[in-house]
Amino acid sequence: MIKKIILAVGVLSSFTLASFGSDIATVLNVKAFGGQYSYEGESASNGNLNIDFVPAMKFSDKFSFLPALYVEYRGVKDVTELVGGEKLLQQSASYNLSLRPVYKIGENTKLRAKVGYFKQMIIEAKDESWGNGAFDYAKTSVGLDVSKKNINIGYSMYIIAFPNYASLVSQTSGQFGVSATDIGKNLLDFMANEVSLYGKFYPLSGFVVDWSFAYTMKSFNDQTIQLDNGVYNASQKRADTVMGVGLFPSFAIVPTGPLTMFGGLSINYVSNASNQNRYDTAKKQFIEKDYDYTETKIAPIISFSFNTVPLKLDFSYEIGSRAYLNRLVQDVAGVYGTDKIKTDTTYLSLGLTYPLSEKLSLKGIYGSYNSSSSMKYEQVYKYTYQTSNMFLGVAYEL
Amino acid sequence: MKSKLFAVLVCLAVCAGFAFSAKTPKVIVTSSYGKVFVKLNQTANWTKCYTGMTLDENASIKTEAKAKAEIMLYDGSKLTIKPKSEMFIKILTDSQKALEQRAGKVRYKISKLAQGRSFECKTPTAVCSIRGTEFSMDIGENDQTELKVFEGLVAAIGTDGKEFEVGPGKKMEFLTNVPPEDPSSFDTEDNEEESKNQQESEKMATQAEINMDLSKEAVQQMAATEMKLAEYQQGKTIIDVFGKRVRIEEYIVRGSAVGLGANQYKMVVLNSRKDRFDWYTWIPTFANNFTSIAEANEWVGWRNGDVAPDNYLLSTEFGASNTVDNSKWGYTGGRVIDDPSIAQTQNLVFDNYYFKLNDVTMISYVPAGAAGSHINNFSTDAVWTVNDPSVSGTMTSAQFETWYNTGYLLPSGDDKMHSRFEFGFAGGTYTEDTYSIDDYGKVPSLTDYAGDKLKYNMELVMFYDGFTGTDKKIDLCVEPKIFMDSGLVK
Repeated sequence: MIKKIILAVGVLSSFTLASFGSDIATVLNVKAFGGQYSYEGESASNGNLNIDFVPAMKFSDKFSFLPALYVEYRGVKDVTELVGGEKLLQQSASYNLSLRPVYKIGENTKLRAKVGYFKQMIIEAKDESWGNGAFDYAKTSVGLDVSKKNINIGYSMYIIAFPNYASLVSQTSGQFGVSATDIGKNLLDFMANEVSLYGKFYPLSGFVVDWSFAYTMKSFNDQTIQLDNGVYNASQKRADTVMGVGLFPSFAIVPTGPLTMFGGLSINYVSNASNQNRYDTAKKQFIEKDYDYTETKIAPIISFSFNTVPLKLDFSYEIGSRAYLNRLVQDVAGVYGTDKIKTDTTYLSLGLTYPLSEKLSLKGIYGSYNSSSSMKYEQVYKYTYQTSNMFLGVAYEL
Repeated sequence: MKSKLFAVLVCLAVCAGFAFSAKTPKVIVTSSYGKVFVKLNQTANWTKCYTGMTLDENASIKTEAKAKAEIMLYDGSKLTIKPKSEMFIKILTDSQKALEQRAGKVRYKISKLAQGRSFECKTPTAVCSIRGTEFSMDIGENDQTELKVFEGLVAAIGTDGKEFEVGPGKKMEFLTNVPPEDPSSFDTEDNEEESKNQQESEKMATQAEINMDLSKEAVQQMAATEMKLAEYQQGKTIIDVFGKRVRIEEYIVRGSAVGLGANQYKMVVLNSRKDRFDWYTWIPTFANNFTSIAEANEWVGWRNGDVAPDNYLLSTEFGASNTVDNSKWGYTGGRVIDDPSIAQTQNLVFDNYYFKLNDVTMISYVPAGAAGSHINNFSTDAVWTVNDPSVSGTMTSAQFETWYNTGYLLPSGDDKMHSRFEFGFAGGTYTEDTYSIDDYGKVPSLTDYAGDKLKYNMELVMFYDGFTGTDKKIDLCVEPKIFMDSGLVK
């Protein structure tokens, strides 16, 4: 990991040297936090570190080049992460290297291209170490987008690969009557084509509305479709489509005295459609289009600034609901019912920022997450639970 | 859900309440560093200025040496107030904006104005009208004003009332009581200063690009998280009792292509850990052919009843392996016997049982009597053999039970769902540990387990001195439903 980061810095430095003669504006953001994650009365402490390093190069009024390296270490789980694996002991580390030429093709029009590589390593069990986590993955992406004034249209193609997660059956010699030819080997790997639009408009003075739309088509070229008798159709591969719509109206007001309030309402809707089915081998239950779901999230977000102290307080409370369209509920013993699974979540987030100097600020964050579900079978996955975390640290922006 | 929605509505109502009773701020201090002070109106005192503060018409802001502030007007215009500067906000309406720079240096980045609107910046010696541009005004000694234009066009009027148009890359000086000279081009120093400013603005633009990039990245990374989520939800990965990750795949296969009859199916469970691979198979064989697994499944657990079953098990056979060693066990010779002397008259009885380690039989029973005999009464008709050097000859069911129970242990205590059978076979010691574990590998108490047996996974660890594979054991994590269906767990 460290070698790769050094290599990435080297690549960026090469580009920096190559751009001798251009204007370089370096953005360096560093966030370091210590924190604690709590789940069902148990807690674990560790730290998080984020570094964003972007030496932006301007070659001319029309052409800029943005090599970027984002590095992250997370020793404290996010509350919104699934409660799986070693629930308290999860650690992850990632680096994200991208190259982005930006070309100005008109007064208010920019064309951006992007080539990027992202790698995340996750440790969730005692026998996992950096680089051999079951869910380590890499994302390779290319993209192009055009922005004109307040509208951006983009296309991305990315491939996500889990190098340590080949199907177990692919590690056998076919003695069980099933083989990787039937089922596939790299079951989780997929290629995605994504079209996105986002922008903002100003309907009133002091009032901004951000909006977004994204449509993604995912192809799982090594995952075959499971049929209602539990066998696989090797000639048909899994394909998903994901549609996401977001709206975020926000405004700034001075309600009273020395207080300024920035308020907003974040609304997001996602729908996932898949042709993949599932046959529960243990319980002999077939579920057609098992992955189809819709999800809605609504969150009021409020920030307070004061004219008397240099303090900023952030508050948000998100309620979310995911409804599986076909996946059936099960009772505590695993017996299938007729209703579909619905999981409701709430996420409370409180933040505090206090500037220590022009570039350095002290930050405190508290998050609390609640999940409750109509799914009562929790032998293999927790659906109803509560987690919280808190952080205290510093953020530096160069 | 309703209560949560209510909470959101309350938040919105509070916001709306504030919104209706409040006004939109006209100026926001986006950054304040060093000794920066504000005066909220002309009669107020100077007070410390903080980032996030809001200002209105008639407010002033000033910076002392080494201090700097940035303010943003509600139309998006940005002003950078350099050290030792002072700015007075005179008029801020939709149609007219007027600022007075009273001292120091300020860089203005003014948003484009719509038709019929005006933006004016005044110093002691100059007045500039702007339509959407970037420029700076520096007030020096004797109120002399230096105007530099970086983008767009500024109409500047000196104290003599004469108007000049100043374009990008040009500068002008306004002195008290001296007519200004025509605009001149930037010199090297100006260009260097501009280059520094450009870098600052590039940095801001880059930060915006980073934010945009990261939010897009977050969405794409969520797609990977969804894949992981599904694997956990489907029980394809758990943590075992030793804290190790176990990946599990379960398959059902049928048909002559895999060597099975029309009255059979095979369940395959594959387990993989970092340093080992184990598997488990189960083949139930039914008396009659069946068309679907669901149809067979109706009879897989049938052991007795008041009426004869439509189908029943002829045999139920298991295999487990660590890819080097194997363990096989099974019941064969299944028959339904009709015994009117007991409550449930129809009973499934198996004539034979075997348990083998690396293909050597360690435990078995057969019907007493000559070949072709059957077991009708298990207590009296079964003859047991164990491959234990301390046991000579065969055993009755009662004797076998005594022998078997001698090997039964509770290594983690009476209140933990961890049991062990330990036998001394001819090839060495054999231990069989059965753990109930939750999704995180924790062993529940007996009380917790009794409350909800199916909530827990099962881990079966077979250790045998005669094994040669990894750790001399076969280590299986399986959903209890599978063990229950196969009759291993009741």
